[in-house]
Amino acid sequence: MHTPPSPTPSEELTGTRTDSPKSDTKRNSERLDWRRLLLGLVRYWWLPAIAVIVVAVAVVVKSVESNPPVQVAMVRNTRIDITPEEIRAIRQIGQWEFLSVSTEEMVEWHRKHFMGDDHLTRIYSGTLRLGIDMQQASDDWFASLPDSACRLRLPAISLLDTLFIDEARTRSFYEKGSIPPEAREQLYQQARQAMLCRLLTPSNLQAAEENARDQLTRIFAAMGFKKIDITFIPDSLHKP
Amino acid sequence: MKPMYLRFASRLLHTVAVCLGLLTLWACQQKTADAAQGQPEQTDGQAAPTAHIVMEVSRQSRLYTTECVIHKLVTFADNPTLEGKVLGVPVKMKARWGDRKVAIPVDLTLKGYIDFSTFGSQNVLREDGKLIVILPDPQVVATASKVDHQGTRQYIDPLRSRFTDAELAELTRQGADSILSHTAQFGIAELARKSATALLVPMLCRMGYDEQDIIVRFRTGFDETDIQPHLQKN
Repeated sequence: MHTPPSPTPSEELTGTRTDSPKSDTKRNSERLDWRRLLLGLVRYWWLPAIAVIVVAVAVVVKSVESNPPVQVAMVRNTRIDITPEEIRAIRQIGQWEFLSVSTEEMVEWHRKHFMGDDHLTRIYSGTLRLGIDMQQASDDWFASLPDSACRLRLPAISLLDTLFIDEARTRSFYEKGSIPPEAREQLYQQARQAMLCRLLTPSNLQAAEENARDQLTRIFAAMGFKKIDITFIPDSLHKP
Repeated sequence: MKPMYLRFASRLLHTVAVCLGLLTLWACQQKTADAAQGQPEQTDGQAAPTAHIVMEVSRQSRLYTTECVIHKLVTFADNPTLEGKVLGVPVKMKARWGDRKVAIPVDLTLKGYIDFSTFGSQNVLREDGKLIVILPDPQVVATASKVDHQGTRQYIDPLRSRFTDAELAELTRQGADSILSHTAQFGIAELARKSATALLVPMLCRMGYDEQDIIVRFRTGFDETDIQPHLQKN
């Protein structure tokens, strides 16, 4: 007697071995799920497209930031041209400086006219140097005396330079309107005169004279003199 | 009847005229407001000192022996350019139409000196009847600078603005600095040493020494590059 083969344990569990209508339905439903997924992907194609575009834009922005296609900048030269310098005058002088006074002066220039006002304010700086101009000393300004003594007859303390403003250090503080060149020259002279009036005072001249005595005494003592007589001759006062 | 374009032009002109009038009124009001903000009453074309500060008073012991006046024509051309790359192609083009140039003549006075503030008995030696004076190194100072305002020239095309006073002052400062940076080329230190010797030897002769017995020495190895020009302090 023929007996049908008993199913294996695996066939019992899955039941694939059978070709029943139930298994066909299941297979069809699985196929439909895949189709549905594919259709869904096709229907929402714009989602991956947007993702791709976003990534592309990010990459482009990043590359443009690191290496922009337009790199243009305004280049402005603020340095002067290279030009030669000429020695206009050179001379031997003999000036002892014993006191220097550095100062600043602020001066203003103003002009009214039909179209409006012009105004310029500048700050000048200068150094007044007080001392002795040895070119004004007489030939016998120095005399060596016995017993390690000497006598100095020197011109009076005076201003060593008539030009003492460093105009190249001038600061422009305020400007309005059109400024003619005469205005700047006028301001220069005005500042110079103001500095002279303020700083070329008897007290400063006296301080310079006292320092001259101290310094010359020290220098001639170093030369070996024990008694140094210093006289300033007021007749040779040099007027600036 | 006027054509349409004429009527439009006339209305445009009227509008521009009204705008200009309003602008002028506004500018006048601004000017009055500025003047009312405590500006001192001044005479036309007059310069008036308004403030001053004594910055520094110092006692010195310097013997100036050489004076040198250096002239420089400071020139400057303001031509800004646009430089860079467009799509990898190098680009260089003028950013303004027209030229803007200036020439400023500047004179700078330099003086060479010997500083005697440290001079003492250690600088004077007597050997075998000879007097040896050892002097400190010569120095150079800029004592004054002057701009020739009448000789200053500006070349400005119509579309460009004039140089401001601040710009002119800055260019002048650069010119003076340029001269000072080249001080060693002028030989002022060597001249200062020679002049100091020429000044001191006659004085030492009056002390009773013969000229051949007087030796004025400077530091060996000194050259022009050791000069440190001192700018006036601002």
